[in-house]
Amino acid sequence: MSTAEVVVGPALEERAARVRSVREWSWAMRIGVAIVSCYLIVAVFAPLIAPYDPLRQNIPNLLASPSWGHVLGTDRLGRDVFSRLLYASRYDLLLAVSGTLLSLLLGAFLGLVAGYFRGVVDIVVSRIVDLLLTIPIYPLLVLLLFTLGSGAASVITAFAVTGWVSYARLARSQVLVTREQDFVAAAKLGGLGNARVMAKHVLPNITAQLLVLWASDIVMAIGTIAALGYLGIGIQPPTPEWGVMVQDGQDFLLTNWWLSVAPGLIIVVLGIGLALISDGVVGRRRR
Amino acid sequence: MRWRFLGRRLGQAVITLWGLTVVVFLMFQALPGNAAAAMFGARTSQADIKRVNHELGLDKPLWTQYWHYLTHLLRGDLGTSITYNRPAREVIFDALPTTVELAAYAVVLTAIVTVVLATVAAMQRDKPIDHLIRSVPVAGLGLPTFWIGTMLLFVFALKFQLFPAGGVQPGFTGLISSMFLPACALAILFTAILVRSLRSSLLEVLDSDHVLTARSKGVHGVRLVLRHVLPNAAIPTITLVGLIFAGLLGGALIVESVFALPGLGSLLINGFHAHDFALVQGITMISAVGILLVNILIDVLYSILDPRVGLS
Repeated sequence: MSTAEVVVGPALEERAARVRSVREWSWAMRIGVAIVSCYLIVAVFAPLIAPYDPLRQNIPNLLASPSWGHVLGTDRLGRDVFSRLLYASRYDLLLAVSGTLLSLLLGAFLGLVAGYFRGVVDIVVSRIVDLLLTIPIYPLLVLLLFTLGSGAASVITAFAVTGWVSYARLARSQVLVTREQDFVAAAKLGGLGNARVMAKHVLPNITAQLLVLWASDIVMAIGTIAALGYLGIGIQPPTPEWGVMVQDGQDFLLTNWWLSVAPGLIIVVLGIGLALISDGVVGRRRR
Repeated sequence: MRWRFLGRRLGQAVITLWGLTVVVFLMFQALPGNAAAAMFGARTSQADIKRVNHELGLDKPLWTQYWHYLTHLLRGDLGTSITYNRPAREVIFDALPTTVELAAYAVVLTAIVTVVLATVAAMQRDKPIDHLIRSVPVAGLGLPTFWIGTMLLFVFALKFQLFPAGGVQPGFTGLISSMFLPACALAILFTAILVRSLRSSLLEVLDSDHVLTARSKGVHGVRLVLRHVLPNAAIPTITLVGLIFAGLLGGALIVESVFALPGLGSLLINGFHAHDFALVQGITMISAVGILLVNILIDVLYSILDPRVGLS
């Protein structure tokens, strides 16, 4: 047996294990992953895929019906709807992912610290969590956007300020269980500092649950971002955004219904994709 | 015993409300941005901002500001709405009934559809119809309410003209028909959230001893479901309703704008565009109070459905 084989062995095995785990995916999960991957590809390569500039107006050709030149027709300013849909995925996905990611990081950190140290920190964090859970998020978001001003950075900040609560609650409850485990006690007895124990021994045990919550949170965030755009208080026109596009098309429902129908369907399909993935992950963990 | 339980819950609610004022107040102190600048838009001179800050008392120490805010709030003073030139409280209370009616309508529709779907699914367990009903949440959770609202408006109000296309018609029948589509938009979303939970608790109760006893006495069909199964299976779902009610209210506020219903949601958006700080802040506060009241109501309902609650 050569040394090369010894080195290659584990790597091959690892790769096989990875393939096996994909094979174990349910059909629902595979469809979900396929859908979400399509969206990510479109978002990344939008400038290459889109046939037109999403902002270029062509007034003589406004409100055109779908044709080979314009697959989904043109809007009230003659902009190509299909190109706008593709570009919108960049804004919606980026905002939803970054806004919820900030919530995730902030919530996980506060939940981790509160659950690990207990005491005063825990009391303060838990009380704030209980409080914020009683406020309906939507008017709070509007109030935040009111003081921060509309636009992408404000939307992300507003999401982080309101969204960390559910992550903190989840992280805290998981940490309360994990910190009592023997391996945590062993790590502490081994002389590791609190920060290291939290990062290396507690955090890895609560990430899976946090990520499942994140997947469903992204669905909600996209819906909310689109709603804010639709209401004219989030992303501002002429930026292509799905909610803004639904609003743009609303005056032409009887003649050009696809203007409002298409962006909504895009959101719904993405929502289904993400739901299938998180269902698949939860189901697999239960098994 | 039950009264003491409710008294304690009320006490907790008062403390929560107080905490809420602190958190909302501090949150806005901590954030960049400025109410005065927001009220006048970007092209405001420093002198104007200073003047408004002084008028709003924003140049005073933090504690003075909070005390001012809290004492006015306690007197029911939410400030003056600059768009309507009236106390914000009056404007908000004028719009409140529309939102309450919409939310109540949506809850009733959701309850009916959820109970019917969950019961059918549980009784026909693992048959095709059960699988169909169980797949509802996958499609439903991603549905944005504003878009469902727009689609319902398009199909049933504009295309087939079965319902009014916006606003509220006079009279009770006018109200019922004007609010049917917006309430449906909300009910679709919340049925999707609740149906799985009710189905699984129905299945649990169907397997329990007391249902077996009832069955052995010859109770079956609708009577069995209504008398013996639903009351017990409903308890976890009612808790869930309490948890999602904040979301339902938020959805109602959004759907109002789609259907141009003159409620808090439309007021909130108008206030936003008109830079009306008192209105936007007041509506946030009133919604939070509404959520607290509903949660207390749910606790009452809970203690009626399950007499063990409150005894412990």
